[in-house]
Amino acid sequence: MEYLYLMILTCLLVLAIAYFVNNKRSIKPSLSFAGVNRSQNGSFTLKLSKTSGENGQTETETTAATTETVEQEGGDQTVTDAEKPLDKNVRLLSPTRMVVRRFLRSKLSIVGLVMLISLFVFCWLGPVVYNRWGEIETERGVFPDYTKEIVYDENHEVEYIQLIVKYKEINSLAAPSAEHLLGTDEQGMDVFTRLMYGGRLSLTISFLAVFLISFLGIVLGGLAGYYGGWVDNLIMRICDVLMCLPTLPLMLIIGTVLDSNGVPQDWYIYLLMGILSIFSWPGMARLVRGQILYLREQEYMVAAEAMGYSTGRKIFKHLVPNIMPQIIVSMTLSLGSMILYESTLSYLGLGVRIPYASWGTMVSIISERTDILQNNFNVWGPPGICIIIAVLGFNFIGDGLIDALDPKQRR
Amino acid sequence: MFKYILKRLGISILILLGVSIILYVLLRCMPSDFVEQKILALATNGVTVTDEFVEKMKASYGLDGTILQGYFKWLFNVFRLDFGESFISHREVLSDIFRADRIGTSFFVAAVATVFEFLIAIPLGITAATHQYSFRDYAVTVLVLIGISLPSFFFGKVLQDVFAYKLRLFSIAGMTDANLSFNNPWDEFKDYIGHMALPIFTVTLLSIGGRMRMTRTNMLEVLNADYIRTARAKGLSESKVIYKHAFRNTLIPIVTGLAGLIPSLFSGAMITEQVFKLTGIGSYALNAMTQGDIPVIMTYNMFLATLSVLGVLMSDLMYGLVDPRVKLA
Amino acid sequence: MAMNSNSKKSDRHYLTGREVREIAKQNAKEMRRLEKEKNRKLPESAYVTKMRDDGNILEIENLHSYFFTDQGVVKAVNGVSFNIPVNSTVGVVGESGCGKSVTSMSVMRLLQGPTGQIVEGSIRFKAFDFKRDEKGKFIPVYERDANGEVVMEQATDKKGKPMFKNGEPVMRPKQLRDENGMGVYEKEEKVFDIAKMPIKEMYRLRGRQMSMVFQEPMTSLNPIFTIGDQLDEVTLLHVPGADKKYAKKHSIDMLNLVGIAMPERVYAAYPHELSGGMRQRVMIAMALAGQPRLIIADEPTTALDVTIQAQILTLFNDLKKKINGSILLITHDLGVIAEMADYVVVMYAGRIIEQGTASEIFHKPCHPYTQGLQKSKPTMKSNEEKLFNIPGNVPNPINMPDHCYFKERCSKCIGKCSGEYPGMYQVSPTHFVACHLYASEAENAKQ
Repeated sequence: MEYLYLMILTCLLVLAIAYFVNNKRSIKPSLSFAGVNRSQNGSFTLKLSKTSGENGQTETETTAATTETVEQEGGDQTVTDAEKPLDKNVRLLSPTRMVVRRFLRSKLSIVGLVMLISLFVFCWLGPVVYNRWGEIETERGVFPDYTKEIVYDENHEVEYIQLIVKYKEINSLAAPSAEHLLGTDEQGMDVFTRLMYGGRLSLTISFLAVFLISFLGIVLGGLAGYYGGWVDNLIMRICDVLMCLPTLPLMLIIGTVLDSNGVPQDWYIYLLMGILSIFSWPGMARLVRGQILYLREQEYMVAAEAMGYSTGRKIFKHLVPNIMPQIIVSMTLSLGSMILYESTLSYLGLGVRIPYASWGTMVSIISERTDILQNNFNVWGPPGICIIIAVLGFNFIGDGLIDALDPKQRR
Repeated sequence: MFKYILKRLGISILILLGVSIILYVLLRCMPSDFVEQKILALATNGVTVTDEFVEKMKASYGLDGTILQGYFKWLFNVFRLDFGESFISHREVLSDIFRADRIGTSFFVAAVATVFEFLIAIPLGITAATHQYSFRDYAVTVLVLIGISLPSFFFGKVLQDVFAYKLRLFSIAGMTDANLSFNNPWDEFKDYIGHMALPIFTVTLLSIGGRMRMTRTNMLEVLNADYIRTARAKGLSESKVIYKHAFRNTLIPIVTGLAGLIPSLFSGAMITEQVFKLTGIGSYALNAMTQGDIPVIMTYNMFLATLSVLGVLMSDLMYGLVDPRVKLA
Repeated sequence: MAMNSNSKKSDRHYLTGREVREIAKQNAKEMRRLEKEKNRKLPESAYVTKMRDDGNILEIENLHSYFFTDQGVVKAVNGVSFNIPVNSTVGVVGESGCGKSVTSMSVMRLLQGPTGQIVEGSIRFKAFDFKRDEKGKFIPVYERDANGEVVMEQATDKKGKPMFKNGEPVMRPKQLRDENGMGVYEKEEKVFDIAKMPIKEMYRLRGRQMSMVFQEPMTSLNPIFTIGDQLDEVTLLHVPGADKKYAKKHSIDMLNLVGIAMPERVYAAYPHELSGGMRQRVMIAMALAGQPRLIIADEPTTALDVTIQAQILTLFNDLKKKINGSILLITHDLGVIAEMADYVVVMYAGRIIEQGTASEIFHKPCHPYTQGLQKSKPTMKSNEEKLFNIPGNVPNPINMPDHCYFKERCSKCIGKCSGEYPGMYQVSPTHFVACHLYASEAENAKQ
């Protein structure tokens, strides 16, 4: 498994390097100002005849003829822009490229991408490289020690060396060193290692929860919006009820319910976040429903109706592509908030439990131990910062996507 | 108008019923409820517990019978405005919640934070929108996004560490300094502020982001509208165009959003209160929830649900008042 | 060219990421420079000029307005020159996207920055504005008696009470008042080069000297202010000394002027309570409230149905006489032009291809495009089954080559058309056309 990660990393690196090298090599000095054509000079016909002259063509009298001969040659290199139809002259951006372009123009979204990618690499590939400690491995170092005892016995000088093996029970709250990059926590577990495993858990959970929320939201919101009538009414009333339930208290209650039902520790947080998703889909459902209701009023949907398209075609060809941008933005932003939720629950002791690691759990130690809060920043600081980086990354990307996907953009 | 409000109120009551059913069923699903915890404590102390005693105890807390019976009993009591008494403190729940140092504290923190939030977020949102894509826009956006991304418990603890432990500018936690006796109200007030400053700062910083982004988006939308061009063509100066014509239009969602703030004003910031050990309603409810104090949990959550239902209704009504285009019917 | 051959065929209509980055970089630089220019402070002498011909109120010369987009620079207005004589209507015609609206926006300096910018050229406008002293204050005109002496009156405070100082009444010169009771101030004629003016100075011209009627009456009024509020604003802004009461009276007069039946009721209404035609009238009233000398009407009748259209056009014709001003009428409707305009400018892809008096353009159209436009107008007389249409579309004005833009759609193409862009050939003293067909004719006309 670990080797798989390593391989993926290598591939990514190679690709990245290849891209940059390629980029450098193919920048042409001839690129002229602002997309204006490369050959936009005065004498078109002359120039054209000269280029075609290389192929043994004589200068023809009318330009129309020149155009033809050149085009017959099929050399798309030799057709100057002047001779192409005017509309062909305009080179635009494809819609997808335009979005990508707008997204990448905002430096914030690039920063967000970099932050997230490095977090992912850190969490998934980190344990492959830095694998001296396990996630829940407490350092119970064996420290051999010996005492020297000199006993005089019948004029013989006999030296007894007594080996006493001392177990240092737990190497807790060690300062950062080469051995433990970020020191150890009060259980003697390596903070740096736990940071990576905790990240895996936090990120995986938030992705799963968001996918579940989106799935439920899209299906139920889509049903409500598309069919209307009593279906819509029923689903929307359920939404109203769920939206009135205060989330955090609810999760606390459910946490205790799960707790006392003896859910295994490693499944516990997944179950909890699953239930959280079941209570959090109304936001997404409302978004989807609103969009569908709005789109159904649009002329092109009416036209699709009039042309007798099948329901599937209407939904997948016309509705889905139009709702997708909003859904993607909303999903990105809720990824961040899910990480926050997970860490808050863990902080309150209802999420991931020690010895298993999650960023929230790792910070939670300071809620009781003020001495650790004051003296051991290396224990609780890094996970907190990781949470901020992850949420910020998702928010930056979400913000960039909002701007990029907005068709009414000013730029 | 009157009919509309009545209709909406009717729907709200139905929603609240739904909410209460879900909550009650969930609460009764907690197997380690308050009685069992108590009995467990007794048993560990060596008291022999008979089944009869357990039944009696359950009955005294109103936990005997099926979930359905329990729910209707609760509902019946609620209609008589009897919310039961807290399992822990054995006091009337309502009077326990609506005490000055509970809801008062939470309200004070939330209200001051909200005022700061609006005072800071709206000007920031407007400058960011009027200088779109400028350095100012980016700086504001980055700061604000960082604010949104902070986990409240982490940020609260960092503030506590830096300003209370290290710099000793503010009090660490709690409501008052126990070992101080105050000679005059001014000192008392200063002490109070010293305790409240960090929680208020935390809540404000975390909430500015959303408000500012909303203002910015709205403002951008309005600035691109045709009527702004008309206003410019009239010869109005740029500041008048922005602060009269554009801002008045952005105000609509801001003002209606005010009504949506009602729940957050009274609900208390659970995590922040826990971090700073305030005795607000949030930490009170948190405590009740970890101990399975059913009457308190029910009352608190229903209180929140009622507030949020009312908040939605109020903001719809506000729309009708503020926006001349909207007619409620 | 090598790059072209490398890229796949399907990619040829799309820009590569690298090109786009290059474009964006160049654009950002250019836009920053132009924005800075727009906001810098200039002494008045830098943008006060003289008219080329004193009979004109507006002279546009070699105007270039570009949009700096990610796909390249869109040269929406590419070297446009025309004049608007005093007391006349100039019509600008062309298909959608040919730069008509951008021209008018350039005159008002309302192009949406930072993408839209005036890059080159000059727009000279003859303003008849209040004279200012060194402090920027208006100079009042005082009442004089038969001997030419300034009449003095007792000063009053804000509440209208006479003022006294040390028991003596405070005296001040009496300002001349017009029939509405508004104070009269000295005015002067000044010519501004709008294209070079700092944007702040434009507040002096917009609304008071020139105003604009936009093409979308449904969205051009602020939805949360009443019609009255929005109309009063103009009066309060542009009539010195006007108070709320006067503004209301003036606004209702304006509503009356544009033929609104119940002005009081409309005055108190919100925009959404009015129909499209009513809103357009309100827009016109708003444009008139500042008593401008030039009204720019950007497709004022496009969104309206035919009966309302006729009413609005009549209104414009009457108004021109009443306010003694000029109108720049922008439309794609030849019928409207025929009805209204004295002079016509035909635009195509950001350039003027023909201009002349209305009768010249209508009875003797020269440019094949104008001829096509004429032919594509449905008439009762023609017996042809199919309506004539000009093949193709208006090209997107990015990357325009230097030859006649109409070449591909033209049925009268000659060899010279692939050469450089035709200059303006004069066919009659007032009639110009940008087409190689008329090169010889122009020569003859000169001789």
